[in-house]
Amino acid sequence: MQELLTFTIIGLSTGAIYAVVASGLVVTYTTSGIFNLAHGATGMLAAFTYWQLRFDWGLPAPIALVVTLFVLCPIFGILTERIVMRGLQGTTEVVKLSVTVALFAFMVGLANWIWPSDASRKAFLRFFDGNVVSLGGVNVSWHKIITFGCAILVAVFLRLVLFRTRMGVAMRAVVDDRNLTELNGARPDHVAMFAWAVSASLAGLAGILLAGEQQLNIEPLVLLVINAYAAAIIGRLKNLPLTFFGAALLGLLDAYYLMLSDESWFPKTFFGFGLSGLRASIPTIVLFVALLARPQTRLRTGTIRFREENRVPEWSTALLGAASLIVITIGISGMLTRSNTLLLLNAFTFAIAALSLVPLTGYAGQMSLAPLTFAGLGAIAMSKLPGNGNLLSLLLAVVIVAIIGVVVALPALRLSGIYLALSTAAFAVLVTKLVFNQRQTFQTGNISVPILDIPFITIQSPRGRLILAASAFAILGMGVVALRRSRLGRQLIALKDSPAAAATLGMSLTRAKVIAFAVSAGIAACAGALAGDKVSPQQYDFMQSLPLVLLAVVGGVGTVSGALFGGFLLGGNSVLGSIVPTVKNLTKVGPGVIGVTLGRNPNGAASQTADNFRSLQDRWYLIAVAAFGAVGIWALNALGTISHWSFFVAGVFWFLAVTPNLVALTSNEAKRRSFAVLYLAAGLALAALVDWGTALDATGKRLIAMGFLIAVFGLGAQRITESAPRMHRSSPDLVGLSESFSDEQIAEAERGLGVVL
Amino acid sequence: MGKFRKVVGVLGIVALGTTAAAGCSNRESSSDTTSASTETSPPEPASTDAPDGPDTSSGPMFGDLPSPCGPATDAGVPTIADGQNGGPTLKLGTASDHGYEASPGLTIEMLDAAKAFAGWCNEMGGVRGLPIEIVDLDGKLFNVPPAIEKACSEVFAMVGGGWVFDDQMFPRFHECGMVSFAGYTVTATAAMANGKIQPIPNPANEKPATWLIWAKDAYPEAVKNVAILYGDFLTTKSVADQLAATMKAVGSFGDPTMISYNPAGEANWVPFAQQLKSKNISAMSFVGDPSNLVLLYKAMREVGYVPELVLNDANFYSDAMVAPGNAKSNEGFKARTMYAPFEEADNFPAMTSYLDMMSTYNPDGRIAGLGLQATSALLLFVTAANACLDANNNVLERECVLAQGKLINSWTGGGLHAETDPAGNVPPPCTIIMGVQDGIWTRIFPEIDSDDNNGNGWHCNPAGVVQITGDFGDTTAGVDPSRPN
Repeated sequence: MQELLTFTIIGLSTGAIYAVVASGLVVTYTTSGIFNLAHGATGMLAAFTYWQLRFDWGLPAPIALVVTLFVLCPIFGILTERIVMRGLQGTTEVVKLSVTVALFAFMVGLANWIWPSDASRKAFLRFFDGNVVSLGGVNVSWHKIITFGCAILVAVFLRLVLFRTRMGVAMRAVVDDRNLTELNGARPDHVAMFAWAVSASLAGLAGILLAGEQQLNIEPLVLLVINAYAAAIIGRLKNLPLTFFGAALLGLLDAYYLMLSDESWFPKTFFGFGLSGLRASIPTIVLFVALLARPQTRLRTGTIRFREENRVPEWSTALLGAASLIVITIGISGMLTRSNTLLLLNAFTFAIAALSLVPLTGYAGQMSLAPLTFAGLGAIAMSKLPGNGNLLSLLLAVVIVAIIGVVVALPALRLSGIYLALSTAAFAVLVTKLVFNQRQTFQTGNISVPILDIPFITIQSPRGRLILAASAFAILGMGVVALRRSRLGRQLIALKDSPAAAATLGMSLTRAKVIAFAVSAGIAACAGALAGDKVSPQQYDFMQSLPLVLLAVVGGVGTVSGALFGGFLLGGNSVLGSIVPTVKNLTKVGPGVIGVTLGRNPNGAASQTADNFRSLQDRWYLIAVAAFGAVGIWALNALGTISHWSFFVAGVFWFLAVTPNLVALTSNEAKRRSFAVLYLAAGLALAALVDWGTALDATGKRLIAMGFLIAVFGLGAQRITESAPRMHRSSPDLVGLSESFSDEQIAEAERGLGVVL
Repeated sequence: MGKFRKVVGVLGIVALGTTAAAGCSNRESSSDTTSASTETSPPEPASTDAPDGPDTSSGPMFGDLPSPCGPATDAGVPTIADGQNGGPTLKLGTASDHGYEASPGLTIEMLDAAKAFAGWCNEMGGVRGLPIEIVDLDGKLFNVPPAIEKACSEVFAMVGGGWVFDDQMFPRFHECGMVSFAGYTVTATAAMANGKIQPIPNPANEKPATWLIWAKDAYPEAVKNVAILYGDFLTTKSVADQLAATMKAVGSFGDPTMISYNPAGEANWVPFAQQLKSKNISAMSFVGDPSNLVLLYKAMREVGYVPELVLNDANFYSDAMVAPGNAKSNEGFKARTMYAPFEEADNFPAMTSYLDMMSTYNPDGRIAGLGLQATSALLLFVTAANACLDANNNVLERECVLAQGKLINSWTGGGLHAETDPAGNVPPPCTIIMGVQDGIWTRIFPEIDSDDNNGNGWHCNPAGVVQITGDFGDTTAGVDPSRPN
């Protein structure tokens, strides 16, 4: 009995930690409508900042706390709202979530940059370190008491702010109906800024309290917050008392499990699978159950127009693209060393995994955070199935994983948006802990996936495997295009555009969702089954899926070319940092920076670039400029000013990064235009003036560096010049009264009235 | 002082996705494992050098090892055998995972030490006039296959490095006839491979046990109720299983209570401390990363119960355990080491040589245990290369260098570490136990002036290597039966 009491008190003290974190999450969601995956990362950054002030620079604790929580955190929150979140109105949940993933990646990169791991770090001491009080025979540290107190104070404070102050009411109102709130005289932008400031402070408080227990280890600081999601979901993302109950539940389950786990009756294995990962999975399991216990999400109704739009791919384009991808790969692979061939092969593997998101996320609008989990299952299936990697085993592996996809989809059918995404995340974590972490699957740490055995063709060399991967992507890509052009494809689009309308017209949403999940899982399985090498479970970890999803969305998750682009961004980014040490730190924050600008162009990069090329067609003077520039670069090379490699890199840069942006450069407001011109000029100078022949020692590296250069500068310029749709759309009633008509609105009105000029 | 050790086992858990790295830090520790000669002859004083080493008795030294580097002999600058990536320089590849984004700089101390070594060696003329050029073989954790391809196409030999997922280099390693003087190995596949030699061997089936024998002699009662806490990854679990098997082989240890924790982070360590208390655990070993043990220690202090003996493997001999603010709660903690203690650099000339080498030729380089192992591997390589040149008409050839290396069965890296038997691939029976006392690392055993100090600062026990059995990984995948060595 004494033991039970002891572990109960301990469990509650764990719960207090979760409670502080979860309440911050709830506040952000209640007041901004965005589920902030980067909440933990914000807290982590705040903890590092506090450590810097308090322990490295030696400021007194109260001053350091005030500076961190009441000055720096709010500023950070306001900047986040101003720069990133404000652009997200009218985008899908997918984009919103991806942007918070990008923020997450950005902040982790930033922390790694500012505080390198090997810097000798002083300890992060708990408040009143070493002091304990005895409660019911258990020692509890003052720090935990303070944590507990903070959790309660935060709850009371929030209750008062949200229900008793005008600002709090406005915050809740903005989430409910932005336009209506505005009509009632509130200013949604200011309200949102305030909400983000409060939320950042709460994240900071949680981060600092957590760091007292965790020291400055980025991973636990960021990941423990994910455990707290379960508590937030129990509270339905709005009910603080229920959230607290959820947090206590998590802490108690954890403590009781540890208390009971070595009783003799306690099961240690389940059909031969070890259960040691079960305790760490408790929060995930609770999350899963809490999600399923949610009332069915109401179908979205009304005419929301998303800003994401992708053209239906033409068969001719798709065929041409597939053929040229294979031909180009065959051509380039002849020039690459074996080592670089394998690096490029990685990029293709990522691209196939990203492709799996196109039908599910791009077409059907269902967010999955587990593409690599399915890839890992594919790898296991391929390696365990008899047949040593023949086509039949590949087919079987794909079918098996597709069925698993369906099984995952079935309970998730009632969910959508953020809840669906979280349930896939829970699935990914559970598989990582309970399936991948087993001798039966990954043996003592890795397994060998056989190379695909195609009749009459022997594939052994890296080059052969690269061509195989490119062909696989091309074939799968064609399949996805075929899907998009089919009746099913249109159903998936309908599911994304307006589920309510689709259901009203008699379409089975369930069937469409299940098929989307199955197809997606099957494609992802190929990414694993075609690995053709030794693979380890860490490659398919949930945390590896996050950047993949992010970059797929950045590339353009609605199109096959976007998936290819996203895969290459991920593959290229990991390479560039090590070959150009000077930009190493930039590549740490690069994906995050690209991602947070998603709000400006939710269609992704690939589709945007294609559009930009198209828009050049009827502007002969810009085509002339493009040609003139190309001749200029050629001339520089002919005169011997730049080397052959620089000529090549600069030429491709001119074609892929500068040319598509020409239209935007000529039709933009002056400030942005000059900034974009400068930005592109800097990129061009880098491309032309660095002697790539000597700077990098292998063709593959040069090509990868070139690709990254083009992506960073080309996309960057694209984003700068983007005529960002103002997220703040004035209420139609005010147009013409408090502000003047825009050209666009006049044109729209004229069209509506049938006036032809 | 604090700057030196950094983390011996390295791999702080740094960022997302570091799960892998966390899992491996322990593996690394097992690689740090002291290795012993099974020969019954008691180890000689640390001053014994490789028998095949050059016999220049004067001139520059590395610790007590006469420098194997020097200018060309009368035979002229050596040539490198055809098809083995020869050229005006001797290209040596040093493996590491420093490009892994989630844990930047992972194991970079090996590359840093190799670069410093090249500077130091080339100043004296290189390998008989042939300058060394270090090639960075960055495995970035998940990119070992491209890295081994780079090795095949660019370097003469792989020296002084290692990858966390080092089993992924096979069979390509053998296909291109590569040889490796590994700084460390992680998987059983790599540890048992041929074509490879390492200064501090770490085979899967033989474990150093002198530290555990010391524990059972010094704490006969405490070791009867022992617990092993381990991070729940396949790799770390395997290390924990090996530790349990080693305890069993040593005898006197009770059946260890195995407790797993979440290596990605625990919200609260108090339940673990409470469990230790409830079970009256009197001896404990922790498999994982020092940063997690620091947290457990704080929780144990909070609960008010610390097992009588907390003894850990070599990667816990780390700065993290004596960081200001943490040292107090870690008081009494013990770890074994096979390196010369950083705290006693004055008494170990090789340590001084290493620190001087780093500060002169790579002042920004990271200083840590694996850097010592890399340095020792490079010294071993150059020593074997000299012997090969003598035997092979001044032509450097991979199998010849490896064959000469495999004649060296007594090696201390000039005194950087306890004596080992690289040729026999057996861990050494020598150990030093270091403990946290008054906030600093202090030698616990053997005392310098006592009889226990029978190995030039180390305590060596002829019975200090034990055989263990069990499935700790694929031990055959790295073996190419067609290779002679």
